[in-house]
Amino acid sequence: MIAQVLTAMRDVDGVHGSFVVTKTGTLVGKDLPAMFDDAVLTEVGRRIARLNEGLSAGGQDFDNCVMRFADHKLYLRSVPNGFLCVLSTNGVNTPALKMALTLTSRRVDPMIVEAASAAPTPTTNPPPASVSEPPKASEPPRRPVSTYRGHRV
Amino acid sequence: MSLTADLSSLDDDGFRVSLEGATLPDFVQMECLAQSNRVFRITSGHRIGYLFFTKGQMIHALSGDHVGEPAALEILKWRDGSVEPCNVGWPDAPTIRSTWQNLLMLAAQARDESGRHKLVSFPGNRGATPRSEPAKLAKREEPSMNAPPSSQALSLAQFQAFVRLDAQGNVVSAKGDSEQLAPVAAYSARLAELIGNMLGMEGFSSLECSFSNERVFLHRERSGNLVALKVPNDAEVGPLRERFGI
Repeated sequence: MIAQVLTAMRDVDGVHGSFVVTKTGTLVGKDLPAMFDDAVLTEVGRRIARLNEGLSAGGQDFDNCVMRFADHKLYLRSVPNGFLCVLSTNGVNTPALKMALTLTSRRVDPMIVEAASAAPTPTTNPPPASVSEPPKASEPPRRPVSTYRGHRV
Repeated sequence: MSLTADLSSLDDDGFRVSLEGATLPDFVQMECLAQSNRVFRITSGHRIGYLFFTKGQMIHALSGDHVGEPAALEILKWRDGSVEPCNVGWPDAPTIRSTWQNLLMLAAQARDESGRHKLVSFPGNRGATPRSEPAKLAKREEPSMNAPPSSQALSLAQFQAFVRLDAQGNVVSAKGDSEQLAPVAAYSARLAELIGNMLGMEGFSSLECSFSNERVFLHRERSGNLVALKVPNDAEVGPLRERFGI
């Protein structure tokens, strides 16, 4: 159901797709090419939640966040129950995208709680490149997992 | 500013003068009051300009990008360099109509508005379209590792906090509440890079995050340094966005 709502984002030129995570980072819906599997998006969701926690030192969630990369942008719109995340090219029509974000986030937000309760608990291990604490000395060293463009190889 | 007036080729007598610490407005005033008829080459770093004086007025100016009054105003903004007389072709007609007093006032006003702090040249954003005026302005001043990024419309006073971190996370320069901003910036930039890598998006460049009362900007410079800024929500951030490619 959320995926159906998210397809509206792709009406904007330059938008590759979008996904929705809860405030704790649980993936609850996506409208992205199949190469973005749920395991990757689940880990991305966790990091988005941590990014929000890190930036919102005053305890207040951010309203919007835009990340620019070499060829792409990632837009994050905070809604009461989660984050609407949109992948786009750098040349995306920003006003049109903001309008689509506003409309879509209104429709998506009420669905997030229900979708989160129905979502299976993720069991994937986080990839090695993280800012989490290093393993303790007593633990066996983790075997490094190689990834290419976010996918395990 | 070093002013050197080697008049040997123009006049048979007179002093050869070298003044350290003089400014271009001082020099213009001196030439105009002396009613001189000469051309001077102004060199400041890699920039070269020419000022033409006749009968106590500056009547023509040339710089890399401009002719006439805009060139004069641009040259008068230069803060250091050297001045020397030269022989170049005079214009057919004056290109400057303002009095030298008016020019100096305009130059001083422009300095007050845009020169309270140094402008910093940011590396061009990959994939961004070439920009005209902001890019020119940025080139006119040397980058400073100790100054925050700024623009015509965003003054230093508008930054609630600013910090520049090197690739190892050491604070290179800071202003305001940087103790809190520095770790937030370093952590957030790292998370943004990881998020990008997982989604197949390489080359994290910038981040803008807006809250109800403030905005946070992060920008990864080509050198690997990370710039973080915190500005109030009502600040004019258009030039910053343009510079950061957001």
